[in-house]
Amino acid sequence: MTGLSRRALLGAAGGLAAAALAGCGERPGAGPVKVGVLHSLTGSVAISEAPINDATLMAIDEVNAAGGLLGRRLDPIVVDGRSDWPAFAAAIERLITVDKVAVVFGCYTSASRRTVVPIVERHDTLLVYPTFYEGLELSPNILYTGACPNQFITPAMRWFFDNRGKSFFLAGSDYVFPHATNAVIRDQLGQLGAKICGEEYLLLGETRVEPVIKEILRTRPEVIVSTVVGDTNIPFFRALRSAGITPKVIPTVSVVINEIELPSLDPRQMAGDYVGLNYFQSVPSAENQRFVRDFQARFGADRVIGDPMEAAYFGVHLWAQAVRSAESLDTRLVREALRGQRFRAPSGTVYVDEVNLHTWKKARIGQIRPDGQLSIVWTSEAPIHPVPYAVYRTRQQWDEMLASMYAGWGNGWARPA
Amino acid sequence: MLEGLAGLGSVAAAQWLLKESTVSVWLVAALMVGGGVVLADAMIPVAARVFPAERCEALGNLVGGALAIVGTVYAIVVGFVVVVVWQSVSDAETTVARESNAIAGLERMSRGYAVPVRRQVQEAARTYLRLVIDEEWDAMAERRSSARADAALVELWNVYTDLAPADRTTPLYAESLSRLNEISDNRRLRLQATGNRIPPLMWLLVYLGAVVTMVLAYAFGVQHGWYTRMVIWILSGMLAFAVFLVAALDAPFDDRMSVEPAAFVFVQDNMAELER
Repeated sequence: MTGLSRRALLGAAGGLAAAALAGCGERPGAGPVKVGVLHSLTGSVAISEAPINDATLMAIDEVNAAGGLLGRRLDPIVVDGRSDWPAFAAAIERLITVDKVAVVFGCYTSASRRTVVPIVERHDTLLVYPTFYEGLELSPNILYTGACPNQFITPAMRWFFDNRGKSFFLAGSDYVFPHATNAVIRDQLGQLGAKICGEEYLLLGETRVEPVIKEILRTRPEVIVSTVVGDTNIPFFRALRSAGITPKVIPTVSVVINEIELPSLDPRQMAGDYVGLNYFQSVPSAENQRFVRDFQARFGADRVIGDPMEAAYFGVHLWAQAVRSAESLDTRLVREALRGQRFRAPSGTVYVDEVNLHTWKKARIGQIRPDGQLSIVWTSEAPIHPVPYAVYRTRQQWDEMLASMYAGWGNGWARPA
Repeated sequence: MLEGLAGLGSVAAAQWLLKESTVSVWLVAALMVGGGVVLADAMIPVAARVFPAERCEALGNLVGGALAIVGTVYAIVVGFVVVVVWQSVSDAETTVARESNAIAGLERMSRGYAVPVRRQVQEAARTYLRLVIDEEWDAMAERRSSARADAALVELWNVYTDLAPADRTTPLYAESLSRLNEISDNRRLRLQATGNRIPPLMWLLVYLGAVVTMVLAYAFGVQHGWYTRMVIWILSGMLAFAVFLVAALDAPFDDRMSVEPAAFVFVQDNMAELER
C-alpha cells in the first residue's frame, strides 16, 4: 500500500468520524430555531402588550425545557413595536428577511395586525396573533388564538339580553375594533328584537367623556356595552358613577378590558360592572392554577394575567405541537399540521379550526371586583366555533364596511384626532 | 402440531386484523375460515388417538345424540347472537339515517327564514356535519364522542333560541325545533350505540360451543380418511365463519362491517350554498 492510499484512508476515516460526531447532536448547520416575538414594550400600548410578551417567553421556555423542537432549542428574538404601526411593519419585515425566523408571535391591536398581514402573506410566514378581535379577516398566514366576536361578544350580548334588559347603549373608542364589533352587536340585537338606544364614540386617548354620559342619561338604556379602550376608561367610569349610573342602575359590560389594565383603571370605581371575554385569571381549573403559579413564580407574585396573555401562551404550544407533528419548520407543512390541533390550555381545551385557523374556545362573563380580579358569573356550556365573518352579512358587505371606514379615516384604522 | 399452531395463529390473527387493521374484510374472513379448517384438520391425528375406533363405535349412538343436542343448542345460540348484532347494526344505520335526514330537513326549512338566519343555520349545520364525519366517526370506534361536534350542535340550537320573538311564533319554528330534537335524540342514540357489545359471557358461550361441537364431531369417529376430513373441514369452516360473523358485526361503529357516515356525507354534499 502506498503513502497516498494510506492518507486517503485516514482522510476518509476522519470524514466519517466528523460526520458521526455531527450526527450525535443537532443536524449539521442547524443551530437554534429563531422565533420572533413582536410586541410593544414601550409607548401607549405597552401597559397591555408587555405582559403578553412575558407570557410568550414563558411558553417558549417551557418548550425548550421539554427538549425544544426537532432537537433544537427555540431562540426568541424580542423586538419592540413601540406602539407604532409602521414600526411593527418594519420590525416584522426585518424578523422575516434578516433574522429568518420560523414564526412570529406578536401584535396586540387590530391596527398593528392589519398593518403586518400583507407582509406575512407576501413572505408566506406564520404570525400567531393572541388578541380577541373584531373578526372580518381571514389570512392563511395567521393563527388566531384570540377570539372573534361570535366567541365572546355575541354570547355576552345574549346573556345580558336574557338577564339584564332589552335596551342597549353602545359606547366605544373611535377606531376599527369598536366600530366593527358594534356593527356585529347591532345586527345581533336587531335579530333578538332588542332596542339600540344610542351609539357614541370617543377619540383614542379622549378625556372629555361628558357628551357620551349625557346621551346615556337621556336615552336611559338597560345595559351599556363598552368598547372604550385605554386610559379613557378612567374618566368614563368616573363620569358614569358621578351621574349616578352604578351597576345596579345600569350595568356596563366591557368587551375589551381585562385584568392587565384593571389595576391602572381604578377597579374600585368599576367594581360590579362586567367583562365579556374567554379567559379570566380566576378560572378554577387545575391547568390554570398551575399556569398562574408558574407565571407568578417567574415574574412576581403581584403580577396578574389577562385574556391575551393566556392566548399568547397556548399559541406557542399549539405552534410547537404542529411543528412536532409536521417534523418540519416549513410554513406550509406547519400550517397544515396546525389544523385540528388541540391543547389543554388554562381556559380549557382549545382546538384549531381546520377551515379558518382560529381557535375554538369557551366564552365567559366576569364581574369586576374591587381588587381588580373578576368573579366568573357565566361560562358557555361548550367551546364555541370561531366564525370570523359574522353571519349577519356577507363577506363582501363586511369588507366594504371596513374599506369605507379605512378610507374615511384617511387610510388609517382610527379616526384621526 | 405445527399445522395446528398455524391454524390457531391464523384464527387469532384474523380476530386482531378485524379490530385493528384496515385489511379487507373478505381477506379476514378467508383467514379466519382457513385458519379454523387448518386447525381442525391438524387435530384429526390427535383425535384419532384420544378417540380410538372401537370406543367410537361402542359409544356412537350416545355421541351422535349428544352432538345433535349440542349442535342444535349451539345453532340457536349463534343464531340469536347473529340476529342481535345484526339488529344492533341495523338500528345504528336507522339512527344515522334519521339524524342526517333531520339535518337536511332543518336546512331546507331554514330557507323560510331571512338570509342571515339561513346563513347561521348553514354555518352551524355544515360545521356539525364536518366534525361528525371527520372527527367523531373515528372517535366512536373507541367509544368516544367529539366535544366539538357537541359544541356545533349547541350552536345550531342557539340559532333558534336566539331568533326574534316574531320568528318564534311561526309553524316553521315549531317544526324546526322538532327537527332539532330529532337530531339531538338520534345523536344520543348513535353515541350510545358505540357501547353496544356482546357481553363476555356470551362470547365464552360462542367459543366454548364451537369447541364442544368440534370435540363431539371428533368423538363420533375420524378413521375414515378423506370422507371424514371433508366433514370436519365443512363443520369447522362453518363454525369459524359463524364466529367471524359475530365478531365482525359486534359493535356497530368499530370495524369494517360497521355503519358508514355516508348519509352525513350525502347531506353535506347536497347542502345549498349561500353567498358567504
